[in-house]
Amino acid sequence: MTHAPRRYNFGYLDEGTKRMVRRALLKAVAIPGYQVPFGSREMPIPYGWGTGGMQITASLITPGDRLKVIDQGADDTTNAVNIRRFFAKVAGTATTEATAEATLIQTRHRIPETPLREGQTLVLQVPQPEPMRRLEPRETECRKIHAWGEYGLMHLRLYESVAQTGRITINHSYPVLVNGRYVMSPTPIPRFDNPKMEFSAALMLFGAGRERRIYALPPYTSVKSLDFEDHPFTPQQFPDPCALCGARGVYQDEILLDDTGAKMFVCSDSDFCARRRAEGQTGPAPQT
Amino acid sequence: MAYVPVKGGEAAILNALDLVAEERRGDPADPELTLAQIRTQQARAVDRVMAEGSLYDPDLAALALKQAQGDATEAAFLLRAYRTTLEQFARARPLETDRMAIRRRISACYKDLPGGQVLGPSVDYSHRMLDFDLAGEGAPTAPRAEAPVAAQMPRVPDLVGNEGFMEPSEPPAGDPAPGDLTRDPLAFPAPRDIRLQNLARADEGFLLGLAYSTQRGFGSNHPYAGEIRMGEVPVEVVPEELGFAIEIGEVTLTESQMITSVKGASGENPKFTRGYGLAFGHCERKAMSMALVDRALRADEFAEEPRYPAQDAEFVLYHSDNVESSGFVQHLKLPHYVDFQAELRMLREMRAARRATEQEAAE
Amino acid sequence: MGAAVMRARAEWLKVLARCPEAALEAALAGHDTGAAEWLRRPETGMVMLEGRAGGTGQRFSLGQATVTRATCRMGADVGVGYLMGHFPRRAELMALADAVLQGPDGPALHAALIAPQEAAQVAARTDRARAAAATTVEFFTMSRETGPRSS
Repeated sequence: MTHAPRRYNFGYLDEGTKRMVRRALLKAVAIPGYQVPFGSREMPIPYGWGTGGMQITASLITPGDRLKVIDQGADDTTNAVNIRRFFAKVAGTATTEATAEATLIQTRHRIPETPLREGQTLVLQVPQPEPMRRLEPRETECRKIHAWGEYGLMHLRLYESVAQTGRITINHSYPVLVNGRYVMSPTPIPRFDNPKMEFSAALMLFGAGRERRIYALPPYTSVKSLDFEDHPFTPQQFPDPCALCGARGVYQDEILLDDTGAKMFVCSDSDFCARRRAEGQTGPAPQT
Repeated sequence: MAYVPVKGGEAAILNALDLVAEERRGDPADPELTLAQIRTQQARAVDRVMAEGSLYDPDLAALALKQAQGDATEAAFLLRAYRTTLEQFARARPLETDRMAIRRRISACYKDLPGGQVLGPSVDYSHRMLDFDLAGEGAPTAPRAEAPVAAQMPRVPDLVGNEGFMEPSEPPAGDPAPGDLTRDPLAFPAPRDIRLQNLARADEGFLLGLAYSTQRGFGSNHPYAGEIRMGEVPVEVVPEELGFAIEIGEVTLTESQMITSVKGASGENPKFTRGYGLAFGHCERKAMSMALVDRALRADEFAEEPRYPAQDAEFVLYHSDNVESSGFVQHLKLPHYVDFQAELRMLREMRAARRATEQEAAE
Repeated sequence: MGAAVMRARAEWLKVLARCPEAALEAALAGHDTGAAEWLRRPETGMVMLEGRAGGTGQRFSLGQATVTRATCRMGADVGVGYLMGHFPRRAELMALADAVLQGPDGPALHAALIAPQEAAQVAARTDRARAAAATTVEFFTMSRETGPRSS
């Protein structure tokens, strides 16, 4: 083997692969909430770490895009840093941490607090695209469930939860009914974020690399979190304001401060929090 | 002191990678490993990386092993990711294992047979005692026979087939090009070409465990090692600018043919059935396991009731790939604190609700 | 292209695909290849290898192999390099050799490169086959054509 120089294509994937992914995306947009199989490729990060989202981003990204990558709502978490570094290397694309400035946002486990607008695309990394999987391990059976729209198993799961604990005990990956047709997993976002999908102005794309599925929510799509009339869907509530910026009504991380139980709650969305602090907002951060 | 968020992720990642590089190199006073040394002196590791990386290239596999510090699964992953960046020029013509330049060929079904029992470079009949002399250096040589082994040897199942006892192994009408699960995702029921591709790149340990389970009672077939052969098979392609087939090199392959007896459906003559294993390099454990699992997955064809894990195509094919399973098991290392917080919040709320109910009851 | 030419080319391409780079460089050094026009610069990609179930049955995708290819034109002759692995320089030299072999200098290059390389390749293959033969378990020595084992 000689040490001849080897160059990677813009966005890592070759153009044929990008076209294949885009075809799957078009089909996914045409049938909201339907899981489209696609010829997922092996990426240079492990399966389960965002390969599906990465392939979507790689297929859509252009030199003119501004890319934001978040994990757990934050731009500075290790996996977000790693994926952003990857695209800076293979696409040379401008990156940003500002939600409002980004054209393309790849995310794991959160939807940003700053409302998304038309023209923006949110790419969600999906570990398990099949909302029914925990109830039915077989793919062959799950395909039938979706084909027939027979979601009784899921309603039973919710009912059992209510019967046993008095509430629906699904905290993340809370199933939604899309466009009145397909039950869809919103990925492991906390159910706090579910309402952000409802009639979202931005395009939302979901990529599951290992499971080889792509699905989508076109802008302004009906997305209903499953519930019962007497047990309506409720997002999580955080009683305290963010310790750093004082924000209320946002999702929070719990930070352990010492081994005696001292803790503080801060915004999970690091860009949202930083922006508020830059505006001079403060919270009751503990002083030591 | 106030809490001020800082961005520490990127520096930490880069420093961690530098630390890996330093540890990979080890003591600079020791000579650095060359790729040639890995390729030739750690050849079984190279074979495994090529088989599970699903890419035949001993030089790249050696590089991957060096980069992965000898971790074969990680090295296979590096090869897989590299594959993604290469264009597929063509499909080679189907490999003809009867043209194999035999270096090893044995059968457990016959004492002797045309071509003979050729042990080749095998440790099968060795005593697994550590050889302390290997701590030093040497240049051992092996004897040569006057005459080489036969240029081509018949495959044992074909010999059995001559008597009509073996299920025929013929291509379907038109000899269609096979599917490729790296381009079209798995769908079920998965045809045998897709199953074989999946098994050929599957994790050796996973296949070995499944194969073993079929022998221990989680399966009902008693197999015979009809033949195991290893050697070099020429690779032929038809370049578009030529229009005729040329040999572009060769690959080392291990082929395993397992033979299982079945009674045959009512009205049919009883006959032997086959399981087939084929993989890159010298890898008998892998090829034999593959053949047993291939046979187990053919349960439907022989009206065998699928009752065991090795007979369940969805179970086997979805969990056999170590690049997938390693990634997903280890993704649990990634931060999950958003979801963990969601669970924690629910527990707090449920406990608070219970306290309130208890208080009400007490009042 | 006649069948005889195709056979001859297939034979020498098979030898060239396994030639060490140094031998190619040395043999081509005496030939003027400067006028070669590159129809395809060396590029590395993959071919999908296929097996057959049971060795003779249904085809299946076994896995890919890296290959490097290059194509040049010298006068009326098109030379093709196509070999396994990532070897851009070897593919280039192979294409040039294939072109020269089709021209007036063909016989000379054949004598200087193909004949000795083919002999070396056959010798190496035979040596492996003799080493394997020494590990044959003999039960009925008299009945087989192969000779007695050497020590």
